Amino acid sequence: MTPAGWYTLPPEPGAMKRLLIVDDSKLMRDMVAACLRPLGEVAFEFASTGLEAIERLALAKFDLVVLDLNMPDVGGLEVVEFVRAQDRLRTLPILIVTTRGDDASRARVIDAGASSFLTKPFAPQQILEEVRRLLPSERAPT
Amino acid sequence: MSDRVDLLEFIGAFVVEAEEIVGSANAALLEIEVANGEGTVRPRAVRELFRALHTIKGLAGMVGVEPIVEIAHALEGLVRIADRTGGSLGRAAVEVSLQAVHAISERVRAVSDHRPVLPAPARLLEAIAATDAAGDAPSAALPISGEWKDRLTPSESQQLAQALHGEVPVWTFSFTPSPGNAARGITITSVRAGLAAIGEVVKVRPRAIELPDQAAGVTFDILVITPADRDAIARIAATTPDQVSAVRPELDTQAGPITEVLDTIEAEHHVSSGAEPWCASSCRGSMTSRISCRS
Repeated sequence: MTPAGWYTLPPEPGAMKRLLIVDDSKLMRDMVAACLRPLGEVAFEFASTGLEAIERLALAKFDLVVLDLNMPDVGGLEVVEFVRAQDRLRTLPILIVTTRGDDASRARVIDAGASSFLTKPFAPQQILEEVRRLLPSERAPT
Repeated sequence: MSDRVDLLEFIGAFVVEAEEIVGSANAALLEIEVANGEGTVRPRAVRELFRALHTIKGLAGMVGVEPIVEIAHALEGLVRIADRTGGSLGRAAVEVSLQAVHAISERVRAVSDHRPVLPAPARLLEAIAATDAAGDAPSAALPISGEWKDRLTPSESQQLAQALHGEVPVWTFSFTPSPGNAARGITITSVRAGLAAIGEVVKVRPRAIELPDQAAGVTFDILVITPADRDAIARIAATTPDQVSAVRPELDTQAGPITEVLDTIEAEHHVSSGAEPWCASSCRGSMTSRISCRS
């Protein structure tokens, strides 16, 4: 997939579920994806900023978002607020990943409509179980 | 498929990213130190230092290097105060920050060399806790009002105020993502990177708009400091020059409640002709347009 072509991924019926992993650290994105590998038939896509996450969510359909809370420019809270203000994204599951020290922000983001949260460091099994719980059984409607 | 994943397989990647972060933190501290010597502040550098510490704290926690977590967490608290109070980090805070980043660097090297990682130095943690974040540089008043002012953090306000007082051009415009733009490689990421190459991005704010063919409509309102002209900015953002507006400080207090003084073609027409009815019907939608109008 070319960097410019991510939005063209075919959303045909029966396609794999799409997860958007959002974190400004490439290593953290890779670690989250590794933790979720046991999910099997799931397509992982990545965004390195809250801005990119909002753009992708505006242009393409996803089945779940794993979202870092503390990012430059636009943080996880603003991403959640944007998503929940959109009719077509109102039920999109959002798992927030926070770091120690983010307690106040965590409360705000849950109030804003995030589905659940985990605090780093987390064990691979923790995030896997949480995503399995949140991931809808059917693909997002196109 | 096995559910077992060992995050220690990422230890090599951790070292690579941690070394980059330490380099970024040191570069930011050097910039802040130089600014302190000049009696000014570098709010953007303070923000970057905060980001670096926050990121390395999270990564170190994931691979179990607790001493780095402790040092980064302590210093992050100090830098957060500076960021939230206008982006001024004083000399003493810079000094203790340099020591802390050095201590982090030593521990990253220990991980790289497969040596035992020393605990976080208690004396360093105490010194960080006892240090006042604030610097001596006076805060510059932000000479604008209106929506942008209301949407900026104290650190961003200082960054913008410095530019406006220093007569460095400040511009605002909106970028709307679309499949067509994305197909040409023009995304908010490319726009932001392009702007960062020619100046400093102060703020990017998403704003929901109605777009029927997309999952959700969004446009990004952008505030950038750059000596580049509006043609160059328009090329980066795949827009037209007349959509790029200059933000200028409010100098004439007799001119009435202009929310922010802009020199878009529309604003020039509007002010020179006094065409409030024209403006009321045309200047709706974008933030740029809205703040062009007399309220």
